[in-house]
Amino acid sequence: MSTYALDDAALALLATALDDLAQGLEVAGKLGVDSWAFGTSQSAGALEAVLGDWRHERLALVRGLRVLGERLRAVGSVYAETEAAVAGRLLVGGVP
Amino acid sequence: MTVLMPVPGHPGTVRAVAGALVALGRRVGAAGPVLRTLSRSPGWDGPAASAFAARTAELAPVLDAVTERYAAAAAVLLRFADALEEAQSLTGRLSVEREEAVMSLLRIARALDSVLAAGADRGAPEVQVLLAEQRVQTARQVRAEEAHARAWAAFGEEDARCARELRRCAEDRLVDSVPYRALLGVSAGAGAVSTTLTIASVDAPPLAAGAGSASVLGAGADTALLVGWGDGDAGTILADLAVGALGVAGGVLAAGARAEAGVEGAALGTRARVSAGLSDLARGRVAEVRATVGALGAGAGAAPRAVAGVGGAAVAAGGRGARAAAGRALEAARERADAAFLAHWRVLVSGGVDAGSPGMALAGAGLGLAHGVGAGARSAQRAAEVVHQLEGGGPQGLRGGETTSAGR
Repeated sequence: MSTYALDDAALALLATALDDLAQGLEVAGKLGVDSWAFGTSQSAGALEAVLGDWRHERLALVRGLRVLGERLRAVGSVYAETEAAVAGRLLVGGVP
Repeated sequence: MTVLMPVPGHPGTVRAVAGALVALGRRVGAAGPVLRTLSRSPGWDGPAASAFAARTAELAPVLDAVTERYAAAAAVLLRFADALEEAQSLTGRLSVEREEAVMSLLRIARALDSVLAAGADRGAPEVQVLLAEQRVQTARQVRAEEAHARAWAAFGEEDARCARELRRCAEDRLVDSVPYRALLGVSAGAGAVSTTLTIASVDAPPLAAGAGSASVLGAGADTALLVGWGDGDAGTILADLAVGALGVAGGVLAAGARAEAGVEGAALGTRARVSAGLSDLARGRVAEVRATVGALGAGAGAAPRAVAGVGGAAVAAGGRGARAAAGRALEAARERADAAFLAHWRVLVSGGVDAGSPGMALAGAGLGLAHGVGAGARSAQRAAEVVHQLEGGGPQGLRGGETTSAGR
């Protein structure tokens, strides 16, 4: 069975990636398509629908990704702190 | 002299927009498998793991739908960019062709005038040559104009087809409902009216009343969006009402309130790694985590581990050869799962930056995704470190293989 071990740094990286993704999705819905690039076309309007007509699900997704990112970051820092504290107790000679 | 217009537009920008959608779609698409793999880890259980899995289960279908929508739209845009480029090339060529014919006709007309003025008869050979050339150039001009019109019509059809296909891409589970869109329209419209009237009321104070009404209307729509769908935030609504109540001065408050407003979400949960024999220290930290992170609690045990579900039923009763074959199959499946997971991981954490490509960065292009430059670059730098760890076997980071502890 394959197991992927994630340490606190990897969790923080994953959290940052989710934050970035949330930010990208947040901005994606606010984009205006420059219709000049599409010529005198209907396609620019249709693309705006692709980008902008899912505001509700997009905002929910942004919130969800940010919550996951926040929690993963919190978990990662707790791991690091706990490990450091536990290691320190071991080094000085035992269980308090 | 009229000039035949070439088809306007910029295929490169259309392709850049498609590339941005592909990059964003790839990252979104990578997030789903990574989160699903982590949430299904048999090495992680407890309330935090359950909360993580529940949250991931909510997001996964949406992530898949976004990936599908963007990938489909990008494919449509790439075809459109090709059609646009071809139409531009063709209409440009035909425009030049027609202009050359017209210039030739002018030259021929001047030559005819000159020859006839010199006393030549219309039946004279040099006049007949010029008249023949005139017919050729006239036909050339007409052909160019007709072909130009056909090229425009063909591009119009391609444009309409592209628009239809893009709209089909948008017909999925993500699309906003009709009531939601209606309220959003009221909100946006009222916001625009309110802003305009508020600015105008500096010079014409009676308009402030209209601005206030529009702000209240907009705030009502925003409240419905917030209450009905959970979108937006109370700070924005109060700020809009402040605009209505205070006029221009309220704009300052609105900006301040909006700057303070953030996206709020439910707690996911956490866990702490607890070493055996040191439970009092660990319990204290876990309690702290519970207080910090939320009410979901922290599961004791090993750090989060994502275990790819490969080969669970691979081995049945059989001889040594069969078991060896099953073992090899299991190993191969495990390697494939490792590779797939790590590939998704790299795409997700690299900020969409792939092999030096600009990823989502599209400064100056038709779609302003430039915000992704900094974040993507930061992620890419960290991703490179992790990839280095993966390849160099550093102790930190992410790796696939046999079960190892985490959180060191």
